[in-house]
Amino acid sequence: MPGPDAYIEVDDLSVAYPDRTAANKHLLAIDHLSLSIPRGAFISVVGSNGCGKTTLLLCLAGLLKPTSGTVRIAGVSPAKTTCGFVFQNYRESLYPWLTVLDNIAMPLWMDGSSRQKARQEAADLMTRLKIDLPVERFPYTLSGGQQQLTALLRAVIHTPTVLLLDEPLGALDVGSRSELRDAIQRIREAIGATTVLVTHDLNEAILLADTVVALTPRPARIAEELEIRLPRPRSQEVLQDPKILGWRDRLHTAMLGTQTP
Amino acid sequence: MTRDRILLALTLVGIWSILAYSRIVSPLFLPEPHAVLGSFWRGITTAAIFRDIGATAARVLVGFLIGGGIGVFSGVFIGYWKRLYNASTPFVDFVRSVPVTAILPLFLLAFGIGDSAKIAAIAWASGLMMLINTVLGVASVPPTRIMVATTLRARPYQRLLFVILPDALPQIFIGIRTAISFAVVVAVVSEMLLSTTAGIGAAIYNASMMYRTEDVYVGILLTGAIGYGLNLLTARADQRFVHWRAR
Repeated sequence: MPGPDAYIEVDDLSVAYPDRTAANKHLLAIDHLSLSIPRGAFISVVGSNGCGKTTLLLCLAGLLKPTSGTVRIAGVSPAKTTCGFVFQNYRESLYPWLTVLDNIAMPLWMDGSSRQKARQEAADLMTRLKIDLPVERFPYTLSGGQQQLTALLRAVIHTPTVLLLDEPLGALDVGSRSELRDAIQRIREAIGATTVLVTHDLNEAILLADTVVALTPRPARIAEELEIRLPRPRSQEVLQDPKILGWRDRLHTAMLGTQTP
Repeated sequence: MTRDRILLALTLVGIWSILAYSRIVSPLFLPEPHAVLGSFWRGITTAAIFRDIGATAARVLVGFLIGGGIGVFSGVFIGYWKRLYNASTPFVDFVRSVPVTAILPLFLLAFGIGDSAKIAAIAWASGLMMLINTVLGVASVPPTRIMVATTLRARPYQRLLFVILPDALPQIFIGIRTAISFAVVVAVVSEMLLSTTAGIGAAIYNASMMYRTEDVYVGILLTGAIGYGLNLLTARADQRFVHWRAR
């Protein structure tokens, strides 16, 4: 059901992985999934572990070829679109041989800018967003929250039209989690990218998104689509809203599937 | 710690002196410290020692550079190309199980008894070390780091230059450290086996043929000192250039 103003269009998407336990068999990760995301929207995708939500995100990033069906971003293949991607594991996504500033600036010099100009732009972005990081240090000397913030800035320095977040808060402790959640809201507001967040934390999903999409257990299909009508910017207090409890229940039931044993 | 090390060194020299001066061990096997020192001094005054060190060092350097270059280049290629990597694993394991001394006759046949056979043996041994470690480094880059570059539409050469090579660098440095010390071993061995005029291995061999044990000891201690020095040097370089190791 592609809408008229859809920016990201997922049409009848299926992804099957070869089954390691049996030859010539396949594990279906995503089963005929269609989804349309309007330009500038913030979508959270929730689902239980191993349901295929990261697979969906990899397809949106063009990192994985669908078995059947199509993904289109502004009408073209995701492999031709430059997106921003934040992985859960910042340790394995940041480049430890580069300083924090060079990590953030990397997308720019990869695209042909001079190192000096890229560094300047990265510093400017941080001033604009009022973000303070020890930029001359190496990422492994920073706290987890600061490292993930570095990864987030690197994902937006080239102002991508699509921002994909794969459990960005998953590896963080509670304190840095809420800090980074605020940073995500602020940064997204500033660059206005169409954003897809994958998580299994319902509070996080509701707090950040305009729409929460719940997936069924594997193979992933859409179980529920909920619009979150809450004013922005949202802080932890939003979770006190009585509406939230009902939403969480609906999403929870949906993502566990109706035919749970 | 430094004091303990000096103490241990003095103790070892002390035990050596007791065993040698009391003739508990014959000077044919264990010459007196002053005899070894005298031989060392003679080597310096006649400049023979510098000629030998220079010859060995030159072979090590040239062999290591040739072998290392080929090893890194083909290691990147093999590590990057999954199919070749999977296919080549048993061959690489086989080849590295063959001692280089067993192949030395082949190098002799191919290059004659001159320097080129020795350099070829050094290049072979150190190149293999560099290849194995480079393959390991390139093949074990975390997929996420490559995916980051892919989402940025990095070209293949950018992926290689900005992600894969730097990420493999710690392992390549391990390769450099093992390859260099291995190169010294092969240099000395080939100098002993393939007759030559200059080189530490040749000096040790010639001395032993004439029962000049003190000269043999000078050669052994020199080889140890060179290996130790190279190890310190490469360890320093490692700390400097791959500061993120194990992070």
